[in-house]
Order: sequence, then C-alpha cells, then structure tokens
Amino acid sequence: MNRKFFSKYDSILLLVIFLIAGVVYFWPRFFAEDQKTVEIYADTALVEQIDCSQLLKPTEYEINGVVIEVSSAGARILSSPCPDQICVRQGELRENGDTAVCAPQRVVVKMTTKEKKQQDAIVY
Amino acid sequence: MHDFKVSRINPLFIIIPLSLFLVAAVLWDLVPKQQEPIEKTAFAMGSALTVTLYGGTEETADQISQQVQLLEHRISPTVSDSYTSFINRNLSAVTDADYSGDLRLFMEWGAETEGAFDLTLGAVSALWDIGGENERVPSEAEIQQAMKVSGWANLVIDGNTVRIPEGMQIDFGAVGKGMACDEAKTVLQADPSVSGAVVASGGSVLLYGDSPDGAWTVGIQHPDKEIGETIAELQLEEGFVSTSGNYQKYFIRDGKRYCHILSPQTGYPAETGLKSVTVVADSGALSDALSTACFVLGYEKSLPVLERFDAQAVFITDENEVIPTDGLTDALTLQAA
Repeated sequence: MNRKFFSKYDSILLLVIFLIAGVVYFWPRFFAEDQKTVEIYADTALVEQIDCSQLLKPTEYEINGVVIEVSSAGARILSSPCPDQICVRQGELRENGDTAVCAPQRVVVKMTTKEKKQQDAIVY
Repeated sequence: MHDFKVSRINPLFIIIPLSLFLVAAVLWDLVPKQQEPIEKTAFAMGSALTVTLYGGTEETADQISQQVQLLEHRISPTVSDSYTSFINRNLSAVTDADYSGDLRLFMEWGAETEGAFDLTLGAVSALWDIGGENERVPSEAEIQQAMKVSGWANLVIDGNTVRIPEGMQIDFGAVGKGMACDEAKTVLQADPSVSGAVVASGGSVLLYGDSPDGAWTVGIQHPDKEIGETIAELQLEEGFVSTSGNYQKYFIRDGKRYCHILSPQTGYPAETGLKSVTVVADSGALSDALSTACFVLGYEKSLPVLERFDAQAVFITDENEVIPTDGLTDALTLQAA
C-alpha cells in the first residue's frame, strides 16, 4: 500500500520538532537571568565594578567616606559624612539605571542590568 | 511472531522544521535592537548631572558637563570668583550681558509670580542653613532683619551693573539646575547626530528630541517613600520638567518639620498644603522657577501663574492627592500604592 506522504502523525512530529527547536533557541533570550552589576564612581571615575551574582554575602565598600553595601539583590548607601544625608535616604538600587548620588562627597552608585529602564528620569 | 516494520524517516521531517526555525531565528535577529545610549555622570550645581544620549558622541556628553560647570562658575554663590559671589561680597559688579540679562528676566518672573519666585533670599536661607551643617530655627528678630534687605525691590540693574544693599545675598538655588538644562539643550542643538537625550540636573530634567520608545517617561518622586520610588509617571515629548518638594532637604525640631523652600513673604518655610509641585515648561529655568513659585503659592494661586507662562503642573498635596493641570491629565499615570 502506498504510504501517505504526510500523515497526521507526521504533522504532529513536525510540529513537535519545530517547537523544540524554537524553545531551545528563544528560551535563553527571553528568560536568561539578568546579570546585575554595581558601578561605583568617585569624582566621575569608575573605581569599583561589582558583579552581584559573585557575592555570597553583603559586602561593604568605602569611597570618599561613603559606605556602600552591595549584595546579590542590589546596593545601597549605608552612611555618608555629608550634612543633608539625601544619599542615605535613596534606598536600595535594584533595577537598571537606579542611581544613588552623594554630591557633597562626589560619589555615584549605579545599578546596571540588561533589563530595559522603566523610566527615563525621575524628578524629585 | 510479530512482524515489526521500521518505516524510513521522511527527510522532510528534518528539512522543513530546520528551515522554518532558521527563518524565524534570522528574522528575530534582524529585528532592530534598541540603540545603547551613552551615559555620563558629572557633578555640577551642587548635585549630580546625568547625561543620557541616543546618538551623538562622548564628546557631546562631556561638552554638556563642561558647559554646565562654566555656568556654575558664573552664577554659584559657593564659587568664590563667580559674579554672584563678587556681588554678594562687594555689593556691586559690572557683569556680562548674559548675567545681567538673566537677572533682569528673573526679576520679571518675580513680579509675575507675585514675589513667590525670589533669588534675593540668600541671607534668610543662610540663617536656616537647611541641608547644611548649621541647621537651626532662627529667632524672629533675625528673620525680620534678613528680610529687610531681601526682595527684588532692593536689587538694582543698570545696564550690566548689578547693585545690592548691604546684607542681601543673591542665590540662584531656585533656578540654577533648570538653567543647567537650558545650557545642555544649546549643546545638543549643535550636534545633529543626537536623536534624543535626557539630561538631569538634580530635580530638573531636559527631554530632548525623540525617545526610542515614542515618548519619554518621567517618574515623579513619591514624597513619603525612598528616593527613586515614584507616585506617578508622565509620558512627555520634548520639554523641561522640574520638581520642588518638601521631603528632601528639611530638618525636624521639637516635632516640627522645616523644609528648605522659604516663603519670600514671611522668611519661614512655605506651608501651603503641598508636598511637591512638578512643572513642565518650555525652558529649564522657567520650569525650575515655577516649581518653587507654585510650591510657595499653593494650588489655587498657582493656576493663573501657570496659565500666564503657558506651563503645566502636577501638584501633590499633604494627603498625597495627585492633581494635574488640564494639559497633563492624559499624560499622567498614577503608580500602584
């Protein structure tokens, strides 16, 4: 008996192979864990670049008297000798582009990831 | 015995899915990925200056920083050889036409905001020193003494000569960061390779050219939450946005909170039922000046002033009610509490 060129089972098999190939190709592009990097600048010069995924426990860095805590989740300024303490009230940096600035001590802490920024700017 | 027959695999099973997969992968990779912006941070005007450029070059970003630092050297009262410092020390100076022109314009804005915008309150601000190392509540007598020599009516501009009475201190704090955004725009206009840019100087922001996403998204800081957490978002085209609020620079004495925005009428921190005002305007200096003026005036009195300057605003009240003016109703999205 002549075999049908494309049976129902052939179509299902075709679809399954196609789906597997698609998943293998696109999955890492959509769902890859985003790498978090914390950059610390002093007087606009990059002085520390920390890959958060490499940190087993929260680690403190001191730059121009400003104490910054970096963990696998994010970063925050813990203390600063500046009078206004605005930088300390910045809270934790978690998302791409989140930035804490201590203008008096000239320190900038910035979170960078591959995620898209939620907002182009924040006014405060 | 069963007779097992093994059918030959049709080569199309491999060829067709692989071909489809390859086509899909190529198409995916051909989808234009968003251009990586150039980002630079510098320090100027007493805060961070953040430049984000789409297109353009690092030189353009550096030029913006340099231009803003030059502005700071002309107008900042903390730079010892600025025009402002010279005038504050010597009570008189012959300045360049830009400086005297700016002061003249700001005097007009002072009049048009019913005195709510006033750059001559430096002596009163120095008494309070809010955000500084000597924060205190001055005595009533001290405030009255400083108020006597403050106010636009006491400032004289004759050609390019600026004169102030003894004791007055000019302070560009209410407008300097907006002026920085204006300087940034001038630099950007000279570089046609820049398709879009965001320049933030403290609480003032320049939105320039086209956003890669169609519109620029600007978050408005939540007055009661950590810096970076927003209460609302604005979707905007080109323009300038500035916010003045009572939640960043303040101190608390005997349970009372004193914010850094002073009323030119009383010399005390302004209390008008607002936590912040965000203004969208056609110039950085104007958006910055109006955000301070509207905070001092309160919601009702601000509306005719905003109309006069063809500007829009978002008010956040003491109860965290978010009130936009008519021109921003569609652009505003409230964030989840």
